[in-house]
Amino acid sequence: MSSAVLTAVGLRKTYGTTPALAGADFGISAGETVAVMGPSGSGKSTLLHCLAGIVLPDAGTIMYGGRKLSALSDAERSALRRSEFGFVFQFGQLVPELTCIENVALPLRLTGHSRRAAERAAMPWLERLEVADLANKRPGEISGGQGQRVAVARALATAPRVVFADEPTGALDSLNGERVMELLTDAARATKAAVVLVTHDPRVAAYADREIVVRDGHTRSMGAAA
Amino acid sequence: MRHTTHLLYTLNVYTVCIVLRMTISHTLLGFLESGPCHGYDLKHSYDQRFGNDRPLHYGQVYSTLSRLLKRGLVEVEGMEPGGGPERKRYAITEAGVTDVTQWLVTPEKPDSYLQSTLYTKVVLAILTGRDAAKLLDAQRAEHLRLMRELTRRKTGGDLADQLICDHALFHLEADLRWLELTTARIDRLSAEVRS
Amino acid sequence: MNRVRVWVRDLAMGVRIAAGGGRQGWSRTLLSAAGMGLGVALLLIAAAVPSMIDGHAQRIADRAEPWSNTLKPGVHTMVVVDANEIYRGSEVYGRLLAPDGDRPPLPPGLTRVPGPGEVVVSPALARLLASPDGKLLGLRFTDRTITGTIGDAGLTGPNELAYYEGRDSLDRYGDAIHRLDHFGIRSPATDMDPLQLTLLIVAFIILLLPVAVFVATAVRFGGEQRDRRLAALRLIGADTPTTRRIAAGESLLGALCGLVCGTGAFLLIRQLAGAFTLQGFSVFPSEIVPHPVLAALVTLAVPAAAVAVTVFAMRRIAVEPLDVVRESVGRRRLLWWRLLVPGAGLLALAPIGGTSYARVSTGVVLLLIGIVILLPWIVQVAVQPLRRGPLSWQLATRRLQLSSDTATRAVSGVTVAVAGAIALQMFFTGVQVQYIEKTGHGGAELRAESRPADYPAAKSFISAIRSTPGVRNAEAVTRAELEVDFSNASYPFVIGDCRTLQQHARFSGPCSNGDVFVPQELRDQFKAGSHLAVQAPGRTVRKRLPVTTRLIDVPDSHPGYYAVYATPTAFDLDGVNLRTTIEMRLDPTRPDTAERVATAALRLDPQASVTTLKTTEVRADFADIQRGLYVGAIGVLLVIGASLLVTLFEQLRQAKRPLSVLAAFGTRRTTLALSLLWQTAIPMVLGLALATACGVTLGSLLLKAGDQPVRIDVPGLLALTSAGAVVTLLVTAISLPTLWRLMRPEGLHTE
Repeated sequence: MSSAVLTAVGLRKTYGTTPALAGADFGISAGETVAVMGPSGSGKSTLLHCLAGIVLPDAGTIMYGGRKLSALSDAERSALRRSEFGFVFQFGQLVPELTCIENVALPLRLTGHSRRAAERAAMPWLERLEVADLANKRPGEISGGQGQRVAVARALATAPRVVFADEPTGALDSLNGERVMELLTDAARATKAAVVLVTHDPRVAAYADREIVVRDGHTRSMGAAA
Repeated sequence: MRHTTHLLYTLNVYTVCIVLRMTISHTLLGFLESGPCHGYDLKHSYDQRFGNDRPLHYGQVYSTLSRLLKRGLVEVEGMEPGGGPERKRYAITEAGVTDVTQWLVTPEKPDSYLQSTLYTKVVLAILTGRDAAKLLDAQRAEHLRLMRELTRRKTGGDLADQLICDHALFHLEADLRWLELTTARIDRLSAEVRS
Repeated sequence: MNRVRVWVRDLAMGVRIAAGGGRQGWSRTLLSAAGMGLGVALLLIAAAVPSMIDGHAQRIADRAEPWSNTLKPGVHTMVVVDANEIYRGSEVYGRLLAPDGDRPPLPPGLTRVPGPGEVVVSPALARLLASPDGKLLGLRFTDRTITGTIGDAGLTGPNELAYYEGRDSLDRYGDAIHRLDHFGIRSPATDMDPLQLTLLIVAFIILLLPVAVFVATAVRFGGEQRDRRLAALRLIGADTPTTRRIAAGESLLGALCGLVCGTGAFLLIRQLAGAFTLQGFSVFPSEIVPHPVLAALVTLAVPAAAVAVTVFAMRRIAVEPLDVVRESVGRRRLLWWRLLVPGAGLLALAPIGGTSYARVSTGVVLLLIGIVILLPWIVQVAVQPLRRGPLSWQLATRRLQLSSDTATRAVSGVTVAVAGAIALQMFFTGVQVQYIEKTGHGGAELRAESRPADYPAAKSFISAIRSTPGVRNAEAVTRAELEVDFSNASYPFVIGDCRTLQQHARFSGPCSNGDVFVPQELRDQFKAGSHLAVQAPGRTVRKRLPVTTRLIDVPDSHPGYYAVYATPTAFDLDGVNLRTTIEMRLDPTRPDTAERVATAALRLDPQASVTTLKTTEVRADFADIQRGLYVGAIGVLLVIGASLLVTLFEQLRQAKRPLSVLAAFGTRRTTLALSLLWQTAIPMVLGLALATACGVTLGSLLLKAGDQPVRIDVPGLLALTSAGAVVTLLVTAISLPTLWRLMRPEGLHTE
């Protein structure tokens, strides 16, 4: 695998007495989309949270851009998430009080852009995800599919090197879900962003370049792109 | 290059599954219902709509037409000078229209899929002491690879492409779910098969 | 089914749903129970105030000395002298007792009258004397032995500082003595003057309104969850009135639990009350008894109010089978009807026509309720144009723009409390000027007083105090009590050398030893050569004024206006009651000066007293109301703080998912903490502004109604608004750990 952006070796994580990860490995290159599959409770989301530096693994190493993620402080990991990572979740991720454009501008504002600059930079992303006309609506006033597009726009707005998507189409019907996946993978490929895509839906996973399966906290690679 | 050959294989498999079952004769009858035409036109209509990467042979068209002619479902409406089957203009008969209608309103019998090669393979692997899980994982990887390719084709294609690919994708997904379920139950299956 | 049965059925169903709603249902019920419990506890305490006031007054009356000037010394009589003093800001109740015979009356709480040199102290005073803080006060009791403690019957509160000291004779105290044959006077009928009554009524309204607002808020805790549950009930066929009644039933359970919690809290507070002293006021737990009628009212009114508020609040929400529609969302609030209530309040308070208590109280209630009604409109209008600013500000303002209801409700209690307190404070300071008794200490900080045996002893007492390091501007006066033989009027008789007299009476002109100076106005009473009756220990001695007296002009405003001034040799002072008073300022750089003065004074005269002076002395009954106000204000602020906290917790829990997503995005904790602060602070600032405006208006109107001059007490205003602001900050600070917890990635899990 060439030019890996993010690699993880031997990740272990236990919540209480339940082991969520029991020796998981992972690697992703720039511009690559990797689907993380597996049954419910297999540790998919925990793997994503560890890779994104949201939680620290109990054991194992995560390397990102030559830095050991697990050795960074909470503040440093937060800064990394602000500037280099993007996130899409299943639902409830948009700040309900903010308009769509403000939601997309949010990560830019977190990295220190002014309100005006952030919203100027956010607009093309809304256009790219075909929701530009919803810019001034609040999340409560738009449909689930539209909200997910806004979320994808938000994840990509900072030009992240890695996008973490946790069941991004989980709450959508298949037509909307496919469109969101198309837009996400297209945009990610165009910006050379790596996408870690957690899903249990094979048809969503089919948008990835390859897949890994998490079973009982172990990862199993299912072969590289043909 | 591997991509294309593989895709051709796939589509052929599915064309056989979908198209041959709906039978070429009914399709040609259906085309004729909108007006008489030559065997040549029928082949082109067919290729354009359902042929994908596997066009009909002329021989196939004419043998079908002559069978229909024999059963009185079509008739030769006119013949251009020169003779030979390619000169004949075919038209549908009353009986032909009834036959098409009958075919269209009769629901297709859903496949029961009770005979599965995959299942046979898994059981045999267990019986011969081979690693059935590995077999399932290999099949899973193969299925997903196919799904990825179909997805890629779908995103670039038109509506017809999308529908045909979706048909395939949904079937593959169903297989994949079965693979997942079987993987999760492999231990129980082993115990039952060996007992 | 008739209406009543329908109500009972639906209310019961609501109670069952709330009780059987699992952990979440119970947490909601307990939350509102806790909120209402606090309210109930406060209401019960308020209901106990009359009995506390009565009990306090009764205790004071029981130990008071009846006034009689006809009582002759006998076996049943005793002489008592008031020796109250202020020690380090606390009042010390002191009495000197000298029985005339062997069967003297017994003050309440004492088993026997202390003999000469014996002291009986209250338990609180005993504790104080035993602690390092009581060192200076201990000097007061040099050469006395503490022989016992005063029982509860003789004290106004468990923490009162009090003592009874036995003496063989109190003759030196002249007319400061009381001769009595029993203790206790008939309890004074609560003959408060109209001004005080208005104050008391207004104070009660002001303290209880925020509690009412709070109870109304507590009913709505967890409302959104409940609405979803009700939507499910609509789906299976409940109609809208039914859902309202079921919702009311759910609130009813909370209210009933609140009653239980509140009664428990009240009993607990009651037990603990004995340990606390607020502003010198302490109460025996046994005296905190809610008035039965008021207690019954609280018990009935709280559940009834819970049901009423819920039914009213549900009117603005349409619970549909599949959805909950909030009518208020996005709707512009109307101003005109919101102005009606405070407008009516202003009208009632306007100084037109006569004023009655009913009118004043109605006005106060309407104006304060007006705040609660006006605040949502003001907040909505004020936050609408907010656009610019940092991210935390944007998050907060957007939240308020979308729905300011919760935040506004949370602060409306504080707003009402502060508005009321401002008004009261203003009214109070305005009225207080009237009631301040001019004590004329002229800024002195310490007073040393002795009853010297003769003039040389007075002189050495004065010079001993003057020469104590750290004493400044000591003004010494020695007085004798003196009566002119043709009248019962008594005049102070100031004795000192020429310099002291000139300084004291502010006159100039010739003065030599042996002179007597009589103010122009008193020349008829004090004719040269006339005979005077002068008080001496146990008797009256006759003295003759010198043949030559000098008439002087004393300025009108001078406190010594009606005094006669004499040099020590003007006549024989032997056997005359003398009192030497020295008022002084203290060197602030020598903190132990007061202690040195006390030591010096007590060395010369073991009966000398050294007292700290307040610059103003507020009349005692006013001090009581002020104390009550402070005690109440502290209680209300605590309750409101708690309600703010609960509301904030609920808001946070509702925003759980967006919060953890924001955390995943790498949002700084400070950003979200600040946004939380703004979210509370913006309505709070608006509320406090409104509170100030209303409070000042209300205070001015009340003062006008009481014919008092209007003046704004700026420090008091600042103190009260800052108290409101401090509550906001404190509450935000306390809720931060919850915010941090909700920002953890666990919130991202959906299953």
